[in-house]
Amino acid sequence: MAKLEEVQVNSLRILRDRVRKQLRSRIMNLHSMYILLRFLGRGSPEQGITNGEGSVKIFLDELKDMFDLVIDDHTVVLFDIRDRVALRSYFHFAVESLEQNSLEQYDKKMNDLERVRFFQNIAEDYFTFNYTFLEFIDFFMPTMFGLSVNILEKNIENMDEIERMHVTEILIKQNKIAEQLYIQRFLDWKILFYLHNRQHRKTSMNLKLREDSLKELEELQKDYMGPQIKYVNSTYIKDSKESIEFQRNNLEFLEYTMDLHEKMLAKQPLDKEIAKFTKFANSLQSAYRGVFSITILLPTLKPLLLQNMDNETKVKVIEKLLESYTEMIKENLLHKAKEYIRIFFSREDFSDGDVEDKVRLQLFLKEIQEIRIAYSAVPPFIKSYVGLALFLEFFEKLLLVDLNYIERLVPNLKNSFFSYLIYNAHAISILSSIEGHPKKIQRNSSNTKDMYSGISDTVKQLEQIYDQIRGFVLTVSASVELSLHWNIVEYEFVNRGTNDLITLLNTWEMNDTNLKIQKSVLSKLDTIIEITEYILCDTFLKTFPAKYLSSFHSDMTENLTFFKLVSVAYHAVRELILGYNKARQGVAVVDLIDRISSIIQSLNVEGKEMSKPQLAPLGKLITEISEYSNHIQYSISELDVMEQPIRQLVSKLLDSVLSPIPH
Amino acid sequence: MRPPYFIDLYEILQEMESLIMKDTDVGEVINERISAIIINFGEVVKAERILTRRLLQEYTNFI
Repeated sequence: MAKLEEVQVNSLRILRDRVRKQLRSRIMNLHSMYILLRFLGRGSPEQGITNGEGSVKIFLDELKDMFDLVIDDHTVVLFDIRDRVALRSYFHFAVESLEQNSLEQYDKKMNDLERVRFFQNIAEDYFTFNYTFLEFIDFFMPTMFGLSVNILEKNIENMDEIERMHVTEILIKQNKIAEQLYIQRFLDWKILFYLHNRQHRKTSMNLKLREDSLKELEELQKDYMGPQIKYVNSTYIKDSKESIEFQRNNLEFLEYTMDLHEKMLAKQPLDKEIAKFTKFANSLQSAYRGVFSITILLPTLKPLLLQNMDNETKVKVIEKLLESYTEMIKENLLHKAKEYIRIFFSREDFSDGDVEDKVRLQLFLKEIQEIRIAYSAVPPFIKSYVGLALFLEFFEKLLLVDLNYIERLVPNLKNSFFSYLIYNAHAISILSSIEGHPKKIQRNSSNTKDMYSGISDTVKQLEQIYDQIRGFVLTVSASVELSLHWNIVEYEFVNRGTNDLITLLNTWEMNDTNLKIQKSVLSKLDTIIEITEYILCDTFLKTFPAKYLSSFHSDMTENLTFFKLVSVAYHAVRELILGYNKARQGVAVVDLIDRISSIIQSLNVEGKEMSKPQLAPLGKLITEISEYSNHIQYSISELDVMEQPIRQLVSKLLDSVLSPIPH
Repeated sequence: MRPPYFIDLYEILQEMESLIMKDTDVGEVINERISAIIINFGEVVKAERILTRRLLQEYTNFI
């Protein structure tokens, strides 16, 4: 009997191994297609689109089929965890590509709604996928919902009743997921969809439709309030009376908002409504008033606030909204806050001098202080992703603000995370402000001295900025345990820094008639090269110490981040090469290429073989190198001296990428 | 050991590299080749799908 059991166990093991190998093989195929698709259309986009139609379909079909397997409780255990992560990457690629319209162009047979349904199905499946909740919401859902919402928003006006019914079905399905994830934007959008529908029906509103509309509103309220109440009950308000009050208040608020919106659409006089809103907003005692005021009210109120109020009232209302905003941050609703900033504080609204910059600045600074307090309580995953994006966006609004002024108003900012961001924003500020500066000098100056002076000052500023940042990065590297989040911060910085440098380089037109100036500029460009080299190479190596590299296989995501950095580095170098074409600084650039190449090489030197899924970012890198290689061939053939090293680099990269044996 | 239907990425990329190195209209040629390769993949993945289902059926029956 025991013998029989042993045979059965062995047979099962053999069978399971066969299935696993089979699945692994399919992942490899998917990965190969993924890399190839990234190549597709690079050299000749039109040709790529024509030829790519079927290719994309094949990729998506296979991806969907694999998802069917990976969501099955029986088969999910047969997948290697790395393969599951890889599948996620491929899916993300597909969604990302859709957003960029590339796959949309390829797959002409699929209309918007079909596309939404397709990804909706996968997203639903994905929810049951064996990933953690945080991974899911962090990485995946915003893209998914963003996609469908954008597509639907785009098409809403052109939909007939049948299409609207389809959309409603999709919404109901998505709503189930959204409820569980508290994806507010989706729910907000649903409200707007309802409003559009209601408006649409007004032309032929009979009693039946009116009843339907009311029922729909009731359902909507349930949908809308359900997740909020769950959230409140579980995390915030324990007292049931308060909970009921909260619900009542917000239902009222919701109805009021709808009425207001409809009046807006009907272009009725709004003076009274503004007063009513102010009174209403003041009367709301719930900490959640901000949640409801943002997405729904802001698009409605923004024109009212900006067009129908005097400056004093505007500032009051802004302050009131900022209070809500602070509350939102405290409630970890940073994504709402971000949207709020985006909607409300767009630059053009304030460019006419209606609200003084000073007032705006004071409000922002107040918020900085609030955020600093609130930030310490924010969960790490929000800090790292949403938070980072929020703060970067937030501080970018301060582009024109003097750094010293900020430091005076917000003490002890130095050597803190905020300091870093402010420096970053400040660096961007200076770089932005000097964009085109040399050209301007060149155009306007009557003598060469001015031009030299301008460039010299610019470079000096740059040196100072990057010196500050370098100091900060080193401090952080020494004192903070390096993590993925910090790497992302580094990545953001490097990306921005190099792009700024590229912008700057592009503004520097060489003046062939004046060799002296040219020589001076070139010497400054040497400095830029040094700075860039530091950012690209030194920072990389310091922020990716041996300890990090030794755990190369341990975390796929971190590896991806690293490759992103390498990709950015390459991108910067490429741009630099193009920029230096005229400057004839080929040798220095080639040195830089060599150093980056050696970083990549070092991955192999240390025996860190890469698996196929890890090759994905490098596939992109190779693509870019290939593109550049083309460019070298066709555009700057006169630079023979550089061509050979580039070819060598391509060869080296291919070797370093391809020589490891896939597991 | 490579899976039966696996198309070697290394070979594909080598081919891409050789194309890039040639003085031809590389972009167009690459796109054509890539599309052709992926179309071939279509056949491969179909076959793999059938094989997977068969294996999974066997596996499910067994457990």
